[in-house]
Order: sequence, then C-alpha cells, then structure tokens
Amino acid sequence: MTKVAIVGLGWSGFSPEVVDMSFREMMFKAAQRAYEDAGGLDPRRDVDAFISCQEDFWEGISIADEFAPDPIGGAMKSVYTVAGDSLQCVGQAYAMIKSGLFDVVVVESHGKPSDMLTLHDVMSMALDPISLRPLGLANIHALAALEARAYMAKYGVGPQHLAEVVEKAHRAGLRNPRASYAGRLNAGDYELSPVVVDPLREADIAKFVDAAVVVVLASEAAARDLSDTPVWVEGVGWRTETSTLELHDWAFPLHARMAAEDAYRQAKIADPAKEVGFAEVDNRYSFKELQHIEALGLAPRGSAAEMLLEEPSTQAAACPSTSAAARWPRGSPSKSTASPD
Amino acid sequence: MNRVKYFQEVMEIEAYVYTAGPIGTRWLQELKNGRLTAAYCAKCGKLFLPPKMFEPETFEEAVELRPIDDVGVVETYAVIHRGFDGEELKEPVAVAFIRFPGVEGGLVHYVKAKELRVGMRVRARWRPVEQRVGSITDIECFEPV
Repeated sequence: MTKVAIVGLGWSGFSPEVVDMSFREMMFKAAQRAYEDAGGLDPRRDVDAFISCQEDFWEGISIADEFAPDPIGGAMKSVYTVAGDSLQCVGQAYAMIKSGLFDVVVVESHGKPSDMLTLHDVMSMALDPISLRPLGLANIHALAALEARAYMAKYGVGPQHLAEVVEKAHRAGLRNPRASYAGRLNAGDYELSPVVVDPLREADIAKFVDAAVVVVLASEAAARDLSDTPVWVEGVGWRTETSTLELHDWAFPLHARMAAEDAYRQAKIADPAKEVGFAEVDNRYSFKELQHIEALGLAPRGSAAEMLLEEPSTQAAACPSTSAAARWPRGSPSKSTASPD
Repeated sequence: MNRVKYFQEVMEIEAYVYTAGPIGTRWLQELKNGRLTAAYCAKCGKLFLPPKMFEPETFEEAVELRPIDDVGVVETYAVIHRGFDGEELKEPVAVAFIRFPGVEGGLVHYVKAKELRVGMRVRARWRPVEQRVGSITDIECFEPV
C-alpha cells in the first residue's frame, strides 16, 4: 500500500475581515499558492480528485457544493464536499490515496465568518431542536463554558492556568505572519479582559478570521515527482462525538483521545509523550489547548496546566504544542483547521 | 456599505419546522403535564436523557419513557455575562448541566440560585399549567433544593 504525503500548501486571508475577495476568490488564491508549492502542479491535468470542506449555512448559499469545483481547478473532475473540518478532509484524501484509486488529491477548506451577519443564529441552529435550542441561550459560548468548568473543577485547573495559555499563545503568534491577533499580553491584561461566560473571559475565546487553505496530498510515486520535501502522513484518525450533547463527557474530550489513539497506532507510536516532538492542537478556547494536550497523550490527564506553569517559556518538552501555530492569535476560520503553518 | 462591492442577502434559517418524532412528541407532552421522563433502553436497561428513539451506545430502539424525579445535581455551570457580540446582559444568566440519579445524560437548563456550585442539588420549577406549551421551557428553571 502506498505511502501518502503532503506536497503542497496554500492559503489566503487569515485576517479578521477580507474585504476585497469573496470566499470563492479566496479559494482560488489559496489554490494557486498550493499548486505552486507542489512544484507548479496543473490541477486540470495532474489532480485526480478534489474535496472541499463547507456547510451551506456558513456560505450563505444553499447547495453550496456546486460552487466548489471552479475556484480550485476542479470543474468536470471528481469533486465532493464534506460538511466538516478540513482535517477530516485530509483524512478522506489520505484514505482515497491509500486505496490505490487516486494519486493526487486536493483538499480545500475555507471560512468567511465576516460575511455572516447572523453568525450567532447560525451557530444556535446547530443545537438540538427539542432539548437545547428552545432555551435561547444568549451566548453559544456558554456550552464551551460548561465544558471548561467541568474540566477545571475535575482537574483543579484555575484561571491562572488559562491566563498562561492565553499569554503564551499570543506571544507565540508574534512569530506567525498569519496570526492577526498576536500580541504581548501579561496576566494583568488577561484579568482586564471582560468575563463573557464565566469561567471564560473574552481572551479565552479565539476570535474569528476569514481564511482559505488548500492542501495537496499525493501517493509516494507522485510525491517524489512533485516535491523534494514531501511531508509524510504516518497516521490519521477521527472520531465523531454523540450528537446528543447531554450524553457526552463534559470534562474530557474522549473523541480526541480515541482519534489520537487511532493515528498513533497507524504511525506505530507507543508513547506519544516521549516520541512526539511537535504537536499543533486546536485551542479555539484556552482550556481546549490543555484538554487536547492531554487527549493526545502528551501529558497525563489533568496535568497539562501544571506542566505549562512549570515550563512557561518553552515550546518543547512535555507541551510541544505551544508553537506559533496556535489557533487563538491566528483566529478561527471555522472550517480551515488544516493550517498553513 | 458600498452596494456594488457588497450586497446583503437574507437566508431565512428560522422558517423551518422540526418533527419531534414518536419519542420526542411524548416527552414534550409529558413536560406539558409537568412530568420529567427519560427513555428506557430495553437492551442495556439504562435510562437516558434527553430521550431519542435510538440509544447511542447500543443502537437499540427506545420505545418507552419512564418518569424520573425532577431533582438533579449540577455537574457543571456557566454564567453568561455578555452576548455573542460582546454586549453586556442586563443581568447575568446561569445555565447548568444537571444530572439525575440513575439516568445517563441529563439536561442543560437555567438555574436561579444565589450561589451556584458544582454538586448542588436542584429541582425543576415548572411553569403554571396554563403557560405550558410542550417544550423544555415548560420548566422555567431549576432552583436549589
């Protein structure tokens, strides 16, 4: 079975509001960059299939999948859309190439939340229509805040730990040209940040950005043709939580733990805390960074916060996820988790 | 707003109906009657809340609702001070996840209490009969026992 590599990466946006391009042009610009990065690949000739991550409500266009092909060079070719995060699509592309039926697969994802004038309504429409939506929550972040408190109460995590995560992420973002919200924060700045949904302050919640990302994946033979520096994908895993929020574990992201175990198994990683040198974790909320470090097995459950305080300035060691790649200073483009960092 | 560069569109996302389904309809009817119920899975013998026709662990079809006590325990809570766009609410609103003894899952609902804490026992405050419509909001909120 062939190996799979990432051979090209392109991006567009990563700013709070992209004012001069629609999401379709942002897709096009990200694709141009990715194809150039993949050795000048011609999508009309060299790509076997395309996957686009999108959801109609986020687009403001119904049946938005029909808008997917043209901006990425996929018209009249094999294109499908996944209503999920871009990392899911990377997993899909990986499986397609592993099957032997495809040599080069392109993954595109984008989000332009600045276009959405009723973003909170759209997000509220994602809630269960019987048990949750009728409550009319004034702020959808309340659900994350419920998770935050459950995690913090169970594992003794305090606001000082969240402040440290926020400070570190913003500081790291200064080295990332795509991090719109990077800055030098200190504990005092954190405390001045208004409480939005206790226990979360405004600084604990990643702000949105407009962004598009395109990733080119290839089989081993194609990768060696297209790139001198392919990045090999050794394992992929994803798990979807129960759709009933009330039945999920509020204190720990078991889905992330199980997905990581799947990926580690494929990559033959037995002890991630020792073997993984670098990790980029989703930290759309401050506490999520701590949770995900633990879910990835990089720190024992409930211990990431203390480890962070003990080594606040390091990027390696037990918490290698603290690179310039953090979501927070970069912002959250809603669908484009696959980052160009 | 430059009307050539941008133009506003409206997507009527609120103009839908949702079919409550066999279990959901009965659950809502019971709420209207002032009774909290949970679905019973005949395969694993567990009660789960909110009820669905499909038990997520066993994939068994749930056909039975059983009454449960409307006294639960706050497993976690959050206090909303500001809306999604940063606007300050007139007064903070507390929302909690409440677990009920012997039941998988629970309910997310509002709690009115002077001091909230994890582990606090709370009871449903039901709306007057004439105000109930068959909704989770027939429970106005939960209060300390």
